[in-house]
Amino acid sequence: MPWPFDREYMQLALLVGLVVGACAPLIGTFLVQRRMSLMGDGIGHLAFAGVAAGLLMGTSPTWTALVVAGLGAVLVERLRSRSGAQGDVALAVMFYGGIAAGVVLMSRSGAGSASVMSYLFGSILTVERGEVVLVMGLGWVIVLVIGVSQRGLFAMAVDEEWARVAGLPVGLLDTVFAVLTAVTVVTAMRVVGVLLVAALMVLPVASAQVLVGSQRGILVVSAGVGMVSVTVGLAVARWLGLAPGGTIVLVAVGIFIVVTIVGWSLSSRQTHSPGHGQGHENRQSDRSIFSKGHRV
Amino acid sequence: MSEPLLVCEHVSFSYRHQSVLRDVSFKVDPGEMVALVGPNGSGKSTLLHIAVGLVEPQEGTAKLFGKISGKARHHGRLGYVPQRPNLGDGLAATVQDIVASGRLTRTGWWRGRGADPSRAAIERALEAVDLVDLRNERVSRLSGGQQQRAFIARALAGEPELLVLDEPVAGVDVESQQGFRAALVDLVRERGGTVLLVSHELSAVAADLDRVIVLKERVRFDGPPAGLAADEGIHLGVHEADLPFWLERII
Repeated sequence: MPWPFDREYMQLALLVGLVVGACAPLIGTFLVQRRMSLMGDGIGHLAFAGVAAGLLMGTSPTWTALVVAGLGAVLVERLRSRSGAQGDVALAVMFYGGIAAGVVLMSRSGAGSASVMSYLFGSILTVERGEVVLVMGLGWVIVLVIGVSQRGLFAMAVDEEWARVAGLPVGLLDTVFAVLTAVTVVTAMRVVGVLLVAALMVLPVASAQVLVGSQRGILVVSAGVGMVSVTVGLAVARWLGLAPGGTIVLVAVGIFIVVTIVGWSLSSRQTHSPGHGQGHENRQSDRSIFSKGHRV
Repeated sequence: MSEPLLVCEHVSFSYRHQSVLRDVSFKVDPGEMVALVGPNGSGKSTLLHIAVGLVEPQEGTAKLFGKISGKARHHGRLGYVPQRPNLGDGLAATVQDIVASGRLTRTGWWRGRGADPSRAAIERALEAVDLVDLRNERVSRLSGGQQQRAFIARALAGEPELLVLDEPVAGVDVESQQGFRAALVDLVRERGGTVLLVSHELSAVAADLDRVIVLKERVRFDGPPAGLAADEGIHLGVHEADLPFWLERII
């Protein structure tokens, strides 16, 4: 492969990054639509506790992170669905409990600060072949489950009361989605670290929402933006010698800013164009999301 | 005589020791358009939630299509329009996405879009509420009335036998109310459907109602609109903004 992906470690990093860049926004789409954008952050903090537990027990931190994050996600989902508006309190419990448990367990495990930093901020350049296989397997699971359940998840995101009356298994879908979110967080942990994992889930979705309006469009475009962010981020990180996890997220932020500015400018141009009437507005909406729907 | 689609028998419900519904019984027969009205806090929404299976009654039973509500799937026979959800800007979905999701009641949530052969039902639903031109518009950018029409179309897309609506025209514009009336009349008169709606704003459909149920903890009136006018002096469609006050007077 050409520079900057001419070395094996960069190729492995790109493979893992592309899988995560595509999968994280698939989950993020439904997190954003259900107004749970910070859920990824909370589960990331729990995953950190799982990593610390793995280091303390001398087992694979990835698997312990998966177990702790999965169980925590299901628990929080249960708390959220029963406590209604107090769901943010459940998230706060996860944030602080997870990170505090992680710090305590890390101190007991005797893990060095380099090891701690690699989980907090990612270590995509040190992934091995076995991890690539694991991440690709988990990626397929995420794509498969989202592909099968996306219509149900979408209906729940729009209106959970309607979904219940329609006979959808709301509790089951909630649980599946919570576990899937945990799997995604743990998968993405190696790429950008637990502190930035939510960024990779939310930022590409935010950009896609400016570009397209349909449900299917958001899923496809956000996955595309995620993969571009990873590819460009890795290239820039190698070129300038920067931390790859942070660079990938900064590229995602940059894409969002550019897309938003272009969106505003096109929207403003359409609003001020001659003959921009009500009927014209509706016809425009068929082609471009930058036009604003009129309000009666 | 065909079986009633919805039957509530001796339903009672209390919330924090405050009685909301007491010994409420009524039924909805096929082909009827029935309005459930009552003053604020009369238990209308609670009764509706019990009827569709969202809430279990503390006493009595509610049956949909002959089965206990909430205990069995109805495979598209029931269409439901809840009070308009508060859609945030985060919801990226077009009108077409919303309406197409109404087919889930028929097809099941796990199947792909291509598995449903009845795209025609989605087209008919969009036409019924006059949203064909806005099908590709993002729903969060529509007015409240347009959004509500999209949710009514979602229910119609499932081709329900019984359509239950909770405050369907609350706060919507006159144009949308007319579209709403046309959709309901089409469902009942042209396709043999049945409608039960909870609403204070009945002017759009007052002339089309077969029956009115006045609820105030118990059923205070159950009969045709003409009977409500004769017995209580309440003329639906005339008494509009002050309808809750008139209903308050019924003992």
